[in-house]
Amino acid sequence: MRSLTPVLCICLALLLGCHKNDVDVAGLTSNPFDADHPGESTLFTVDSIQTETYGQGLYNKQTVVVHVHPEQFPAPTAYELRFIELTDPDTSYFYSNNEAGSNTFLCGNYQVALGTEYCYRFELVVAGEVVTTKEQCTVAEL
Amino acid sequence: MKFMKAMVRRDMIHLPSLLLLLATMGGGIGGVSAQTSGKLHLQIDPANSFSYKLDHHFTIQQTDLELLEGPHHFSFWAPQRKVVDTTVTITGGEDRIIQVRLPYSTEYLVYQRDLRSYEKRMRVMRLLPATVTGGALIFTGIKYANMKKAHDRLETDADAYDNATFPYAITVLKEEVIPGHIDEFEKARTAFRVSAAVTVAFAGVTTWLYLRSAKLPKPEFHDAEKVRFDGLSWMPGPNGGAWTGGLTWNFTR
Repeated sequence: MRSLTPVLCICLALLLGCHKNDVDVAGLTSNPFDADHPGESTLFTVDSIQTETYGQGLYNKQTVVVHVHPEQFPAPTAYELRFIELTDPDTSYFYSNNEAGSNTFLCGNYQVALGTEYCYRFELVVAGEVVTTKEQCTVAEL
Repeated sequence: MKFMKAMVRRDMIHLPSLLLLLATMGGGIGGVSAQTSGKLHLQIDPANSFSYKLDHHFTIQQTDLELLEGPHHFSFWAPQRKVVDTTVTITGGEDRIIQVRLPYSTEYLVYQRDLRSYEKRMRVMRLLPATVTGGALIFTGIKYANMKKAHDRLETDADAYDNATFPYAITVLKEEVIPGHIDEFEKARTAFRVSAAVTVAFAGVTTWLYLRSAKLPKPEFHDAEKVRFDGLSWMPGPNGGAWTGGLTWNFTR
């Protein structure tokens, strides 16, 4: 038995040294920038959509407050927030975090009619690619 | 005579005393006190380990002798060598040099042959498998290093995925880089398992051969010429030893 000790030691060492594949491609979904990331994205939130008058009460506008959460990014990086008014698809705006100086954005739709529903799409863009999107509709009411 | 023999053996002979004793005994017994002596110098190969018996009685290791004239019998011996018997005739007042080269004994030559065969078998049964197992172990170590390198690369990929801030980089990682690295890791792991299995098999065979070779008896050298030279003597052995003896009968006397 004592003579078999070296063999047993070698076997044990080989068994302990055998690595297993810990990386499962299908299970790689933890990065919030990954298109396969499960659940609703919380990289940004639409805090509020408010309708108000301007131009001495002659016009109405909607102000959308969007808050981006860069602390949930996998690493600090530059980003843009794209604001698209779906009711009038030609209207879209880009907001850069560098220009805003903060992570809260005020997006304005300056031509709204009261009682009309307006839909908006918000896209978080990193390095020219859309990371996540959200859509929200609301009726313009004072 | 017994006294003289004891003195010779115990003190490794004081030759002038021996010569004197021989002369005295010769004169006392035979009344031939007119005998003269001659000097003899021995050159024996091997030079340091030989001994010889003079006239079947005295065991001596010295190379210079002074003997009474007349024939004297010598039995030369050294470990591993044959006993060589010869008679030297001493002429009074004359110095002689005798050169004797002791040949290796048959038992020693057989022992050497058996020992070489034993060592060769040991090399085949121990050194060779151990060397092969060692080589396999080194090969397995290299394969392990390759596997670990591939595994570390996968861990680096996982970290890169966790910290990726570019969607395109994530796509490339998941669709090209990581699958390729997984494939390389699987190959490296398979190679490691195969080499590890071969190493274990070699180690098992080595152990088996080692155990089997341990049962092979190692040749032992029994110097039969020494027994013949010494006469009755104690031969220590693995089972306690034994008394051995040699009987010489000189029919000419």
